[in-house]
Order: sequence, then C-alpha cells, then structure tokens
Amino acid sequence: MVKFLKMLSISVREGTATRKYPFESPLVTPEFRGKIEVDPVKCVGCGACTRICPPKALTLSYENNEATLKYFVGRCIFCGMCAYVCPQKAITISKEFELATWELEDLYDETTHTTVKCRICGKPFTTVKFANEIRRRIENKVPEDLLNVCPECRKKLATRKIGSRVVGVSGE
Amino acid sequence: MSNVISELIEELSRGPRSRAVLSRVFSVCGDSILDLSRRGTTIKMVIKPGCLRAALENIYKEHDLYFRTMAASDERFKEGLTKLYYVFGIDSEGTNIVFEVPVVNGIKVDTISDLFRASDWYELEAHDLLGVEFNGRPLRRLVLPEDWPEELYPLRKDVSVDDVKKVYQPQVVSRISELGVEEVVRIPVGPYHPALHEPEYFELYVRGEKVVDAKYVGFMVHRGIEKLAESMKYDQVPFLAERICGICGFVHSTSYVQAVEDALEIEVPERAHFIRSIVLEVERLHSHLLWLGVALHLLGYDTGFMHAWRIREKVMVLAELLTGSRKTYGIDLVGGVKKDIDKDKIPKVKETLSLLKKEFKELVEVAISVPQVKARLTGTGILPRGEARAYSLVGPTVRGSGLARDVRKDYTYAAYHYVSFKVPVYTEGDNLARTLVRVDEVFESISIIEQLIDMLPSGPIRAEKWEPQPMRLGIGAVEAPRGEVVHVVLTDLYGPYRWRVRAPTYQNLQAVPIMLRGVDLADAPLTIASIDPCFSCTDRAIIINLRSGSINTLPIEVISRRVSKDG
Amino acid sequence: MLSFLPPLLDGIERKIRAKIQSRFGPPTPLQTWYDLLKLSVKELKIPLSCESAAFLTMLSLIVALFSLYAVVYATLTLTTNIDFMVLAMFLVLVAASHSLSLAASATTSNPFALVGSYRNVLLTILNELGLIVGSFSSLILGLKLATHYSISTLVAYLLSLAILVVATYVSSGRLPFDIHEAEPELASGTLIEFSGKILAFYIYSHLLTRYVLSLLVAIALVAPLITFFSSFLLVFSVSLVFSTFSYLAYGVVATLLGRTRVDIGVKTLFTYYLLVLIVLVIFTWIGI
Repeated sequence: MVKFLKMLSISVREGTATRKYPFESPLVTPEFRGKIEVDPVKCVGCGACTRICPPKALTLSYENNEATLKYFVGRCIFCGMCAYVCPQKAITISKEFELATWELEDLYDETTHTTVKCRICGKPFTTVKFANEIRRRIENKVPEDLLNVCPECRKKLATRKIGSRVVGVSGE
Repeated sequence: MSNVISELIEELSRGPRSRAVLSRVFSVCGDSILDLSRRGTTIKMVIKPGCLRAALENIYKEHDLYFRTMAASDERFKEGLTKLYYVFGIDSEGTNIVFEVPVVNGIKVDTISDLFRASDWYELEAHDLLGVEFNGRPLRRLVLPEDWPEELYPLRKDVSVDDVKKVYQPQVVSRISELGVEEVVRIPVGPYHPALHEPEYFELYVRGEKVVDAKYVGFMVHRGIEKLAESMKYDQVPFLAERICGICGFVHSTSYVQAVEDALEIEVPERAHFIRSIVLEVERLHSHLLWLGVALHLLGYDTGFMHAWRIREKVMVLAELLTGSRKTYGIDLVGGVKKDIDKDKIPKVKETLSLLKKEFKELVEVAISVPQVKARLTGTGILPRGEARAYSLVGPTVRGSGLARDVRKDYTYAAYHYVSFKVPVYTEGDNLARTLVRVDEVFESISIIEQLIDMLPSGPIRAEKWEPQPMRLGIGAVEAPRGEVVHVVLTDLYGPYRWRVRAPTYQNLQAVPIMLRGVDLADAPLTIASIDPCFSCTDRAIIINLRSGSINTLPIEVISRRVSKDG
Repeated sequence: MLSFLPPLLDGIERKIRAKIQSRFGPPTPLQTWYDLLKLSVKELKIPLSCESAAFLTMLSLIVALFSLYAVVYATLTLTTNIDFMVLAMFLVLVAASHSLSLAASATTSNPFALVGSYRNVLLTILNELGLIVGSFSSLILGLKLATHYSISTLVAYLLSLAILVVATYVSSGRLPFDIHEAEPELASGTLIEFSGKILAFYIYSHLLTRYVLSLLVAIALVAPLITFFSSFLLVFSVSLVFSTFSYLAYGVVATLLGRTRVDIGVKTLFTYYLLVLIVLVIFTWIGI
C-alpha cells in the first residue's frame, strides 16, 4: 500500500537530472552529427554529394565561368550521406548544432571552383580539379581530346564516328 | 491446364496452410487466375477483379489468414491499368500471399470490407488517392479533406505536386478571416488544441460521464510522403521514411530497405542485420519508456512521468552513441547500414543496459503501486479478443487481449532468428494488460540487445553491389513498438515506382471506438493513449456511425457544432 | 501581511515537487508571485458569457480574504472558551468561498469547463460536510483535551483530526482530487476560461483558501496545547509554523499520488468519512 512512498528514496538517490544548458555545456557524444564542413582544397566539384543529398541542401551550379557548391544549413537534415559518398573525403561532419541566426546569409556556405569549357560548344561542363582528378585516377588512359569535350558534344562525336564507319560519311 | 496449376501450387506452397489457401482459391476461381509465382516468402497470384471476392469469401475463417495491407498502384503508363495488391499473411508459416488485381479504367471492384473488416480504410484510401471505384459499399472521403476537388487523384502518375498546388486552396485559410476571431474567444475542439500533442480531432459523445460513441477525424498531417518518394532515389528514401514518425522513425526506414531488398533479392551482410536489430530494439526501449511516461501523466501522476523520461534519457544518449543522432538515426541504406558499432562502444552499451534494467524495474513497481494508477488502469478500456482478431489489430494492443502476434516471430527478419526471447501476452484486454505487455517487452528488449551484442559477427556492413530491376514487388515488415509496420515497394530503375506505408496505428485506431464504449469520460484519454497512437504515422480518419443518429439527446453540446451551424 | 504568504508557500511547494521529480522547477520560490504579477498585466480575453463568472470570482476572492482575517482573529483570541460565533462565521465564509468559485465555473458555456465543474460539485458537497464536522469536533475536543485529559477524549480528538486533515486536503484541490481541473487531454475546468487579471485573482483566492485551510488544521493542532502558551503572539507564531508545515506536507503527498476518477474519489471519500464517523460516535458515546 505504501510502496509508492519509495519514490521519495529514488529521488533522493538520483538527485537532479536537469542540465543547466545554456549555462552548462550540453551533453553531446563523440558520434554526434552536426553541420558539415567542405574542405575547399580537397573538394573537386564533382557533385556526388548534391546527387545523394535527400533534401537538396547541397547544390552545384555553373555560372560566370565558375562552379559553385552551395551548402544551405536550413535544408540540411544532418544525415551525413554527403560525407559518406564524397570520393575525395572532402566533407567532414562537425559537432556544431547551435546554428540559429538572425541573418539568412549566415546559413549559406560556398565553395567555388574554376571550370573547364568545352572546346566545341564553349559551355563550362566540369571543373579543372575534377578533370585533373579523373586524369590521375584513370592514369591518363583516356585521350586528351575527349577529356575537354562536354557530354552533349561527346555524344555527337561518337555518333558521327559510328555513322562514318557505317555510311562512309567523314566525321571530325 | 488445371494439372499444371495444381502442380505449380504444390511446388510453390510453403506449408499446408498456404497450400490449402491456394487450392481453395484455384477451385473457386480457376480461369480467373492469370499468374502464380513465388519469391522468397511471398507467393503472388494475379487474379481478375471479378473473382477476388468469391475467392476470399470463406477463406478468412477456414484458413487463418491475417489481412496485412493493401497497396493500390497507378500503372496505366506501363500496362494500361491500375493494380491493387492485397497482402495477406499466414502467421504460422511466415508466408505472405499477395493477390495482384489488375483493374481496367472504369471497372468497379467488389468490396471485401465486409469479409475483412480491416480492409475498410484501404479501399477508401485507394478511392481517394487513385480513383478506384468499389461496388457494394458507401464511399466517402477518408484521406483528403472534404473540400478537395473531384476528379483530382493525387497519387496518379500524371498528377504532379505543382498541379495540386494550383487547384487546391484549403478553405480553412479563408474561413479564419471570415470568423474574425478577435471579439470572441472560441475554443476549438481540434485539430489544434492546447492539450493535444499531435493534431487530431476527437469527438466523444457522452451521457453523464459515460462515453457512448466516438468520432475521430485525422489526416491533418498528411504530407504526401508516398508521392514524394516516387521522385527520389533508392538511397534517399530511408531518410524520408525516418521522418514519418518522430518516435518510431527507424522502423519505417528499416521496413523500406527490407522491402527493396526483398524485391531485388539483395544479400545483406549478417553484421548489418545485427546492427539493425540492435538499433530497432533500442528504439523500442525509448518508445515504451516514452509511452509509460505519457500514460502516467494522463493519470495525473506527473512524478512517474518525470522519472520515466529521466530513465529514457539514458536510452537516447545510447542511441546517439551508436548511430550519431538521438532520434533520426540515419544509418539505414539499401543493402545494409552506413555506421558500424565499434568494439570500444560495447562496454558502455552493457553498462547502460544493466542500469536501465535496475531503474526501470524499480520505477514500474512504484508506479503501479500508486493506488490511483492501479485503480484507473484495471478493468477499463476492454478490448475483446474476438474484435481484436476481426479487425486484424496489431502490436501490444492485440497482445494485451490474448493474441500472440509478433512480426519478429511470425515473419522473422534481420537477426531475430538468432536470439531467444518471449513474446509477452496478457488476456484481460484492459488498459493494465496493455501496460504490462509493454513493461515486459522492455525487459525482453534489454535481453535481446545483450544477446545480440555478444554474438555480433564480423564482416562488411553493406552489400557490395546490387542492380535495380523495374516493377518488382517487395514486402518489408518490422515489429515497431506500436505493432506491425508493413511497407510494399514496386521498384523502378532509380527509385521506387510505388511505395506504400502501413503504420500500426492505422490498423489500431479502428479499435478505439470499441474500447471507448461504456468507458468513463475521465478514462477516455488513457484508453486512446493505451493503443499508443502515433498520428503522424497514421493520418487516417474514422467516422463511426452514431447509434442514435441524432444529436438532441446529448447533454453537452459540442462547440464545433455551434460553429458549423453559425458559419 | 499574512496575505503575502500563500503564493510564497506555493512557490516553495513547487520547488519541493521539482526536487522529488529530479528537476529544478522554478528558479526562485517567489515564482508564483512573479506569475501572478505577470498575469495581472496581461490583456483580458474572456468569453462574453463569462462576465458573471468574473464577478463571482472577485466576490470569492473577497470572501477568501475575509475568511483569512477571521481565522487570524480566531487564532489570536483562542482561549479555552471557544467562541462559537466566530467559528460558525469562519465556516460560512469558507463554504461561501467554495460555492462562489463553483458558481463561477458553472456559468461558463464551454463544455470542457462544465465537465470539470459538475465533477467538482459532487465532490465539494460531500467534502463540505466532512470539513464542518471535522473542524467542529477537533476544535471542541482539542480544547476539552487541554483542560480535561482522558484517553477517550484523546482518541476521539485524533479521529476528528483524521477527518479534518482529509477534508482540508480534498478542499485544497490538490492531487489526487484536482478533478475540477480534470484531465490534461480534455483540458477542462474553470482555469481555461479566465485570463489576465481575472485569472490572477482566481489563482490568488484559490491559494488563499488553501492556506486558510492549513491554518485551520494548525489551530486544531494547537488547541490541546493552548494552556502551555502564555501569550497570544506565541499561539499565533506556533500556528504559523504548524500551518506552513501542513501546507508543505500536503504538497509532498500530492506529488506522490495520481489523479483519481470522480466516481472512485467520491466513493472512497464517502466510505472513509462514514467509517471514521461511526468509530468517532462510538467513542464519544463510550466517553460519555
């Protein structure tokens, strides 16, 4: 009947469980996933992270002869998939979570890279660093004159080559 | 011809029960069966709509079929028709029997809601979202709001999200300015009420203190998740699935990846299975502790609530240590997991678990001994076993009424076949029985985690390679803290073609009016809470017919009625 | 001066409750005063039908204040000769204060508030009887004990004290009997109807009544010891101490229990009163 009085002894033993955050540091384990940091040196602008990001917080855009990787904290769900898929291991997950701010601009992080222009149509289609990384990884086994052509023009080149073999039309 | 099919039935059956069901359907429907195949534990039969009802007419009682879910899929651009996938389960065999019913546009399908009462909402949902017509039953809006335009079926492939936004403007927005709520204070009965944790709308019809009937309208948090996933890639969907629910998110992401792995026959490494099972049990711990706290709070025993959540805090820290986040774990991927459990974390896990065991035992002893708690839990909100079976209910709700259903045992998945554990079952069917089921499950979960940690195999945590194939059907089921979660996935090249989520509360809410009849008003919140409702998972509506049909006999007018009369 | 005390005691009670629940609670024991002051500067938003309720609340507050003064007066003038007039007036004031709060809550049109009020009516009616019987008999017997000590008087006194303690506990509207505020999910009871200044006054009169009830218990406890006190000031200070102790003890008990259901609560209360009353009557009869 009086077993419920035992609660008093439990509270005495446990003390106060509350942490006086923000006057005391918050309880964060070493595994905690917070905001990500993109290393501008290691990043090559391949866009793998932008393809896997579920809420599209990471976006890669080509404008003014530059490729810009934009990270918008407001959309980030802190899943860590970008760090998981980055081939250059350029993304690290920090423990920062106190991200509230009055200025929207504070929530955008940008990394820019110089782009490579297609030698046929002139459109920028990849970054210099990414092209160099590919050259390094495939050990220069791909001919240079294909490495600076954008995907659309490459398709046209390939079609013409096949066409020329079949029909006898001279290609490029 | 019939010999070929009977041979096929022999070959594909996984046991006497499935053989009996298939033979029965064949004998009734014969020519209407267009295909029969099996993959893994799922037997699929393509059957013409005209014969489905006849096939299922007597099957329920004779052959112990449990209705799990139904997914409707718009395949008009692939094969020119809409398809309905009815998923039934044979618990004793762990077999799924799927009836794939192709419906040509304009054809009405016979209802099976009188045969399988649980299928009621699924048919309404298929009607609401895809425009499938059903014979022999009244159709009404279930998922979509009353003012939704006709002929706009959101889940059809030719309807884009932008189309919907252009056509539909919720009337609520214009109503608010009409009412001019500055001069008068009106207290809304829902969906946004200061006492409610999630948007829901309950109307309890009371005579004095006894509840006579209940009306529930939900779907206020219908976010169109199933449609959203159709535009995502395979490995992005687990993160969306995790956010279906803030308490049981991981079961949804695991259920989804299991459905895809089932469809594409992906070999998941053993270590990944173990990690998934460990995290699933950790989630069960936190969910039950949360529920216990909430139940005690509803009874007015706030001290118990505070202490239950203090203990739960340790589980949350454990989850963060193992997965990187307190709740949205984000470790599931198709083919495995993305985060490993290192050796140096294991002593911490064991320490937390033993502390948890001791403290939780103490708390439960004290909490249940509080006279008010004991008096109000015993004998209230009774759910009879027959009703539980007829409505195909799931989870602790049904285990408190004597039915031993648990997906971990019946349709075993992940690493559960390596561990030994009991499934707690109580027969009284009252609120106390459901409470004790959950309490026992906490101790069982602790034991399961301890066994899994000791047996953790080495190896990779993710499948190396897998190839997507279009239009394969996969079923993933997981025992969530609230009951059985079933996901049905139809695959496409980069992501799911159709993804159907069935959360346990969807099934269990149908039982609430039964439990509420005859209950005192004061116990109504506790009874509703005893099925552990997760409205975010559910978003369904149920409108029960009033016994009297008239409102005059009610002693207390519900304010919302006044609003609708005036406005 | 004494009117400052009840919200302070409430603040201390909240701190103690928080300690039992392993948390910090309000930053200072003066929190309830801060809350009342904040409420009194907030805008008033009450349903139109509630104007009568507001009026009744004010009336109830005034009555509560009067009852406080009455009790203080009674304490200060407590002698072995009990002044029945004062006691009667005091009890009338307490009962009036309760009924006025009840009336205030019954005038609302909100069904949720009504639910709480109907429950409160049942419980209050039953409890008022207990309160009247308990206070009368403990005071009379207590004072009798001070002058003529006998075992039967002592037992009878303790029994009436048992009734008084429970009756004042239930009257104070704490768990397990805070039914008029009803269930959190239904969010009913009178408190949801008021806002701003009216709410501040309502809460303050509620806390005053609670304190007055504790003071009543204190007096009943002091009564048998009255002959040991030389001055009225000493009687008053001891009563203050006893009343604070009883107020906080009630708070601790409330923290350890859940909320009862109205039918269970009424049944339990009724059985308890009946039993104790029967035993009490038997003892008094034996004593005589």
